Amino acid sequence: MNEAAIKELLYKVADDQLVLGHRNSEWTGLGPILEEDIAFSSMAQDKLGHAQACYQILHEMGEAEPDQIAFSRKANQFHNCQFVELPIGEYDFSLMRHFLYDHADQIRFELFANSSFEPLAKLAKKVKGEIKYHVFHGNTWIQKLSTANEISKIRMQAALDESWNYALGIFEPGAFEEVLQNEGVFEGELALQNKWLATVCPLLEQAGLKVPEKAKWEPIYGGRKGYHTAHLEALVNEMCEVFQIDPTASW
Amino acid sequence: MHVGIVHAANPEMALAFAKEQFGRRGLSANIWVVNTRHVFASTYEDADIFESTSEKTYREAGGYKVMDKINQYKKAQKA
Repeated sequence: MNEAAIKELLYKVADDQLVLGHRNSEWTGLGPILEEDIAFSSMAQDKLGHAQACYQILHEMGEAEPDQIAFSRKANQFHNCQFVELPIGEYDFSLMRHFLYDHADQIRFELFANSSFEPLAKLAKKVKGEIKYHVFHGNTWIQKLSTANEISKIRMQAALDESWNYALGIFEPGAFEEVLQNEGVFEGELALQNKWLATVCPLLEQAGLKVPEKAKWEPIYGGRKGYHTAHLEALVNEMCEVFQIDPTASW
Repeated sequence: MHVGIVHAANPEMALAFAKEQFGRRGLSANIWVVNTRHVFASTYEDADIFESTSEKTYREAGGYKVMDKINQYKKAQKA
Protein backbone atom coordinates (compact mmCIF):
# COMPACT_ATOMS: atom_id res chain seq x y z
CA MET A 1 0.00 0.00 0.00
CA ASN A 2 1.05 3.56 -0.68
CA GLU A 3 1.95 4.89 2.75
CA ALA A 4 2.30 8.51 1.70
CA ALA A 5 -1.24 8.46 0.30
CA ILE A 6 -2.71 6.97 3.46
CA LYS A 7 -0.80 9.41 5.66
CA GLU A 8 -2.06 12.37 3.67
CA LEU A 9 -5.61 11.09 4.06
CA LEU A 10 -5.24 10.51 7.80
CA TYR A 11 -3.64 13.90 8.41
CA LYS A 12 -6.43 15.84 6.76
CA VAL A 13 -9.17 13.92 8.58
CA ALA A 14 -7.40 14.15 11.93
CA ASP A 15 -6.64 17.85 11.58
CA ASP A 16 -10.26 18.59 10.65
CA GLN A 17 -11.42 16.82 13.78
CA LEU A 18 -8.87 18.48 16.05
CA VAL A 19 -9.51 22.00 14.81
CA LEU A 20 -13.31 21.68 14.69
CA GLY A 21 -13.31 19.97 18.08
CA HIS A 22 -11.28 22.84 19.50
CA ARG A 23 -13.52 25.44 17.89
CA ASN A 24 -16.74 23.81 19.09
CA SER A 25 -15.36 23.48 22.62
CA GLU A 26 -15.20 27.30 22.69
CA TRP A 27 -18.97 27.16 23.24
CA THR A 28 -18.57 25.33 26.54
CA GLY A 29 -20.23 27.45 29.20
CA LEU A 30 -21.75 29.76 26.59
CA GLY A 31 -24.33 27.48 24.94
CA PRO A 32 -27.88 28.78 24.48
CA ILE A 33 -29.33 26.49 27.16
CA LEU A 34 -27.67 24.18 29.66
CA GLU A 35 -28.74 20.95 27.92
CA GLU A 36 -27.39 22.13 24.56
CA ASP A 37 -24.20 23.37 26.19
CA ILE A 38 -23.56 19.86 27.50
CA ALA A 39 -24.50 18.16 24.21
CA PHE A 40 -22.36 20.44 22.05
CA SER A 41 -19.38 20.21 24.41
CA SER A 42 -19.66 16.45 24.48
CA MET A 43 -19.62 16.26 20.69
CA ALA A 44 -16.57 18.54 20.62
CA GLN A 45 -14.84 16.02 22.87
CA ASP A 46 -15.87 13.20 20.54
CA LYS A 47 -14.15 15.07 17.71
CA LEU A 48 -10.93 15.33 19.70
CA GLY A 49 -11.18 11.60 20.38
CA HIS A 50 -11.54 10.88 16.65
CA ALA A 51 -8.53 13.09 15.94
CA GLN A 52 -6.49 11.24 18.53
CA ALA A 53 -7.44 7.88 17.04
CA CYS A 54 -6.26 9.03 13.59
CA TYR A 55 -3.00 10.43 14.99
CA GLN A 56 -2.50 7.10 16.76
CA ILE A 57 -2.75 5.24 13.45
CA LEU A 58 -0.26 7.72 12.00
CA HIS A 59 2.03 7.08 14.96
CA GLU A 60 1.87 3.36 14.28
CA MET A 61 2.95 4.18 10.72
CA GLY A 62 6.07 5.91 12.03
CA GLU A 63 4.88 9.46 12.65
CA ALA A 64 5.40 11.26 15.98
CA GLU A 65 3.33 10.67 19.14
CA PRO A 66 -0.29 11.93 18.91
CA ASP A 67 0.32 14.77 21.39
CA GLN A 68 3.46 15.81 19.54
CA ILE A 69 1.63 15.91 16.23
CA ALA A 70 -1.31 17.80 17.68
CA PHE A 71 0.58 20.41 19.65
CA SER A 72 3.98 20.88 18.00
CA ARG A 73 3.19 22.06 14.51
CA LYS A 74 2.89 25.47 12.93
CA ALA A 75 -0.40 26.50 11.35
CA ASN A 76 0.94 25.97 7.82
CA GLN A 77 1.63 22.31 8.67
CA PHE A 78 -2.06 21.61 9.34
CA HIS A 79 -4.10 19.89 6.62
CA ASN A 80 -7.59 20.81 7.78
CA CYS A 81 -9.98 22.56 5.41
CA GLN A 82 -10.43 26.26 6.07
CA PHE A 83 -14.11 25.75 6.98
CA VAL A 84 -13.29 24.24 10.36
CA GLU A 85 -10.83 26.95 11.39
CA LEU A 86 -13.25 29.86 11.01
CA PRO A 87 -14.23 31.47 14.34
CA ILE A 88 -17.38 30.13 15.99
CA GLY A 89 -19.32 33.30 15.17
CA GLU A 90 -22.93 33.26 16.32
CA TYR A 91 -24.69 30.01 17.19
CA ASP A 92 -26.44 29.91 13.79
CA PHE A 93 -23.08 29.66 12.02
CA SER A 94 -21.64 27.11 14.45
CA LEU A 95 -24.73 24.92 14.07
CA MET A 96 -24.72 25.18 10.29
CA ARG A 97 -21.03 24.24 10.18
CA HIS A 98 -21.70 21.35 12.55
CA PHE A 99 -24.55 20.14 10.32
CA LEU A 100 -22.65 20.49 7.02
CA TYR A 101 -19.35 19.11 8.31
CA ASP A 102 -20.75 16.16 10.23
CA HIS A 103 -22.77 14.92 7.28
CA ALA A 104 -19.52 14.85 5.31
CA ASP A 105 -17.84 13.17 8.27
CA GLN A 106 -20.51 10.49 8.47
CA ILE A 107 -20.31 9.65 4.77
CA ARG A 108 -16.49 9.70 4.85
CA PHE A 109 -16.41 7.18 7.69
CA GLU A 110 -19.08 5.05 6.00
CA LEU A 111 -16.71 4.83 3.03
CA PHE A 112 -13.81 4.13 5.39
CA ALA A 113 -15.74 1.17 6.81
CA ASN A 114 -15.07 -0.63 3.50
CA SER A 115 -11.45 0.49 3.27
CA SER A 116 -8.76 -2.01 2.37
CA PHE A 117 -6.59 -0.27 4.98
CA GLU A 118 -7.67 -2.20 8.02
CA PRO A 119 -6.95 0.30 10.83
CA LEU A 120 -9.19 2.79 9.06
CA ALA A 121 -12.01 0.28 8.58
CA LYS A 122 -11.76 -0.64 12.25
CA LEU A 123 -11.85 2.98 13.37
CA ALA A 124 -14.89 3.63 11.15
CA LYS A 125 -16.85 0.95 12.98
CA LYS A 126 -15.82 2.39 16.33
CA VAL A 127 -16.90 5.98 15.67
CA LYS A 128 -20.09 5.14 13.77
CA GLY A 129 -22.46 5.60 16.71
CA GLU A 130 -20.99 8.89 17.85
CA ILE A 131 -21.16 10.44 14.40
CA LYS A 132 -24.70 9.14 13.95
CA TYR A 133 -25.66 11.10 17.05
CA HIS A 134 -23.85 14.23 15.83
CA VAL A 135 -25.80 14.11 12.58
CA PHE A 136 -29.10 13.54 14.38
CA HIS A 137 -28.36 16.50 16.64
CA GLY A 138 -27.46 18.71 13.66
CA ASN A 139 -30.53 17.70 11.66
CA THR A 140 -32.80 18.42 14.62
CA TRP A 141 -31.49 21.93 15.18
CA ILE A 142 -31.37 22.91 11.51
CA GLN A 143 -34.93 21.77 10.98
CA LYS A 144 -36.17 23.51 14.12
CA LEU A 145 -34.41 26.85 13.72
CA SER A 146 -35.08 27.12 10.00
CA THR A 147 -38.81 26.83 10.59
CA ALA A 148 -39.24 28.49 14.01
CA ASN A 149 -39.89 32.10 12.99
CA GLU A 150 -38.96 34.69 10.35
CA ILE A 151 -35.83 35.91 12.13
CA SER A 152 -34.45 32.45 12.83
CA LYS A 153 -35.09 31.44 9.22
CA ILE A 154 -33.26 34.50 7.88
CA ARG A 155 -30.34 33.79 10.17
CA MET A 156 -30.09 30.13 9.18
CA GLN A 157 -30.22 31.06 5.50
CA ALA A 158 -27.44 33.62 6.04
CA ALA A 159 -25.38 31.01 7.90
CA LEU A 160 -25.85 28.58 5.00
CA ASP A 161 -24.87 31.19 2.41
CA GLU A 162 -21.78 32.11 4.42
CA SER A 163 -20.79 28.45 4.92
CA TRP A 164 -21.46 26.98 1.50
CA ASN A 165 -18.24 27.62 -0.43
CA TYR A 166 -16.18 26.81 2.63
CA ALA A 167 -18.12 23.56 3.02
CA LEU A 168 -17.36 22.65 -0.59
CA GLY A 169 -13.71 23.16 0.37
CA ILE A 170 -13.95 20.07 2.61
CA PHE A 171 -13.68 18.06 -0.62
CA GLU A 172 -10.47 19.61 -1.95
CA PRO A 173 -8.82 16.85 -4.00
CA GLY A 174 -5.54 15.53 -2.67
CA ALA A 175 -2.41 14.45 -4.53
CA PHE A 176 -3.28 10.75 -4.21
CA GLU A 177 -6.93 10.47 -5.22
CA GLU A 178 -6.31 7.81 -7.88
CA VAL A 179 -3.89 5.79 -5.79
CA LEU A 180 -6.33 5.65 -2.90
CA GLN A 181 -9.13 4.57 -5.21
CA ASN A 182 -7.09 1.95 -7.02
CA GLU A 183 -5.89 0.43 -3.78
CA GLY A 184 -9.39 0.39 -2.32
CA VAL A 185 -8.44 2.65 0.57
CA PHE A 186 -10.92 5.44 -0.10
CA GLU A 187 -13.30 6.28 -2.95
CA GLY A 188 -12.06 9.84 -3.10
CA GLU A 189 -13.18 13.40 -2.44
CA LEU A 190 -15.32 13.69 -5.57
CA ALA A 191 -17.37 10.61 -4.68
CA LEU A 192 -17.68 11.92 -1.14
CA GLN A 193 -18.83 15.34 -2.31
CA ASN A 194 -21.49 13.85 -4.58
CA LYS A 195 -22.87 11.68 -1.80
CA TRP A 196 -22.79 14.66 0.55
CA LEU A 197 -24.71 16.88 -1.87
CA ALA A 198 -27.31 14.16 -2.36
CA THR A 199 -27.74 14.04 1.43
CA VAL A 200 -27.62 17.65 2.62
CA CYS A 201 -29.47 19.38 -0.24
CA PRO A 202 -32.80 17.58 0.37
CA LEU A 203 -32.48 18.14 4.13
CA LEU A 204 -31.84 21.86 3.65
CA GLU A 205 -34.77 22.17 1.26
CA GLN A 206 -36.98 20.27 3.67
CA ALA A 207 -36.03 22.86 6.29
CA GLY A 208 -37.14 25.60 3.88
CA LEU A 209 -33.63 26.84 3.11
CA LYS A 210 -32.22 27.58 -0.34
CA VAL A 211 -29.01 25.92 -1.39
CA PRO A 212 -26.92 28.61 -3.18
CA GLU A 213 -27.23 28.51 -6.99
CA LYS A 214 -24.74 26.27 -8.65
CA ALA A 215 -23.32 29.15 -10.70
CA LYS A 216 -22.12 30.69 -7.44
CA TRP A 217 -20.34 27.62 -6.14
CA GLU A 218 -16.68 28.43 -5.65
CA PRO A 219 -15.06 25.89 -3.33
CA ILE A 220 -12.53 27.45 -0.98
CA TYR A 221 -9.49 25.25 -1.33
CA GLY A 222 -5.98 25.52 0.07
CA GLY A 223 -6.39 24.17 3.59
CA ARG A 224 -5.36 20.65 2.62
CA LYS A 225 -2.07 22.05 1.29
CA GLY A 226 -1.32 24.15 4.35
CA TYR A 227 -2.78 27.47 3.17
CA HIS A 228 -4.95 28.86 5.91
CA THR A 229 -6.72 31.98 7.10
CA ALA A 230 -5.09 34.00 9.90
CA HIS A 231 -7.67 32.46 12.25
CA LEU A 232 -5.84 29.14 12.34
CA GLU A 233 -2.58 30.61 13.59
CA ALA A 234 -4.38 32.23 16.53
CA LEU A 235 -6.18 28.96 17.26
CA VAL A 236 -2.98 26.89 17.11
CA ASN A 237 -1.12 29.32 19.38
CA GLU A 238 -3.87 29.10 21.98
CA MET A 239 -4.33 25.34 21.64
CA CYS A 240 -0.61 24.60 22.02
CA GLU A 241 0.14 27.15 24.73
CA VAL A 242 0.09 24.81 27.71
CA PHE A 243 1.82 21.92 25.93
CA GLN A 244 4.62 24.19 24.78
CA ILE A 245 5.45 25.30 28.34
CA ASP A 246 7.02 21.87 28.79
CA PRO A 247 6.74 19.60 25.73
CA THR A 248 8.40 16.70 27.58
CA ALA A 249 6.03 16.74 30.58
CA SER A 250 3.95 13.61 31.01
CA TRP A 251 0.21 14.20 31.48
CA MET B 1 -36.73 3.82 34.19
CA HIS B 2 -37.22 7.57 34.53
CA VAL B 3 -33.84 9.24 34.59
CA GLY B 4 -34.52 12.94 34.35
CA ILE B 5 -36.04 16.02 32.80
CA VAL B 6 -34.73 18.23 30.01
CA HIS B 7 -35.93 21.52 28.56
CA ALA B 8 -36.38 21.34 24.80
CA ALA B 9 -38.32 22.85 21.92
CA ASN B 10 -39.63 19.53 20.57
CA PRO B 11 -39.43 15.76 21.20
CA GLU B 12 -36.48 15.28 18.80
CA MET B 13 -34.44 17.90 20.61
CA ALA B 14 -35.41 16.48 23.98
CA LEU B 15 -34.11 13.12 22.80
CA ALA B 16 -30.87 14.70 21.58
CA PHE B 17 -30.38 16.39 24.94
CA ALA B 18 -31.39 13.37 27.02
CA LYS B 19 -28.83 11.20 25.27
CA GLU B 20 -25.99 13.50 26.40
CA GLN B 21 -27.43 14.34 29.84
CA PHE B 22 -28.29 10.83 30.92
CA GLY B 23 -27.05 8.30 28.38
CA ARG B 24 -23.31 8.84 28.56
CA ARG B 25 -22.29 7.00 31.70
CA GLY B 26 -24.16 3.71 31.80
CA LEU B 27 -25.13 1.52 28.89
CA SER B 28 -28.44 2.60 27.38
CA ALA B 29 -30.72 0.89 24.87
CA ASN B 30 -33.30 3.55 24.02
CA ILE B 31 -34.86 6.76 25.23
CA TRP B 32 -38.55 7.53 25.70
CA VAL B 33 -39.51 11.18 25.62
CA VAL B 34 -42.75 12.18 27.30
CA ASN B 35 -44.07 15.69 27.77
CA THR B 36 -44.15 16.39 31.51
CA ARG B 37 -47.76 17.51 31.33
CA HIS B 38 -48.75 14.10 29.97
CA VAL B 39 -47.35 12.25 32.94
CA PHE B 40 -49.75 11.13 35.63
CA ALA B 41 -47.64 10.16 38.61
CA SER B 42 -47.89 9.14 42.22
CA THR B 43 -46.65 11.71 44.73
CA TYR B 44 -43.50 11.48 46.81
CA GLU B 45 -45.71 11.61 49.94
CA ASP B 46 -47.07 8.24 48.87
CA ALA B 47 -43.63 6.64 48.62
CA ASP B 48 -44.61 4.37 51.50
CA ILE B 49 -46.75 2.30 49.14
CA PHE B 50 -43.51 0.78 47.84
CA GLU B 51 -42.23 -0.25 51.23
CA SER B 52 -42.13 -3.95 51.75
CA THR B 53 -41.43 -5.91 54.87
CA SER B 54 -38.17 -7.83 55.07
CA GLU B 55 -39.77 -11.30 55.26
CA LYS B 56 -41.18 -10.85 51.75
CA THR B 57 -37.86 -10.72 49.91
CA TYR B 58 -38.77 -14.05 48.28
CA ARG B 59 -41.19 -12.02 46.16
CA GLU B 60 -38.39 -9.88 44.69
CA ALA B 61 -36.02 -11.05 41.97
CA GLY B 62 -33.04 -10.40 44.23
CA GLY B 63 -34.56 -12.63 46.90
CA TYR B 64 -33.77 -15.82 45.06
CA LYS B 65 -30.40 -17.17 46.11
CA VAL B 66 -29.90 -19.69 43.35
CA MET B 67 -26.60 -18.75 41.72
CA ASP B 68 -24.63 -20.97 44.11
CA LYS B 69 -26.81 -23.93 43.19
CA ILE B 70 -26.57 -23.20 39.47
CA ASN B 71 -22.78 -22.90 39.62
CA GLN B 72 -22.56 -26.09 41.61
CA TYR B 73 -24.74 -27.86 39.03
CA LYS B 74 -22.62 -26.53 36.13
CA LYS B 75 -19.48 -27.71 37.87
CA ALA B 76 -20.96 -31.15 38.40
CA GLN B 77 -21.96 -31.34 34.71
CA LYS B 78 -18.42 -30.52 33.62
CA ALA B 79 -16.84 -33.09 35.91
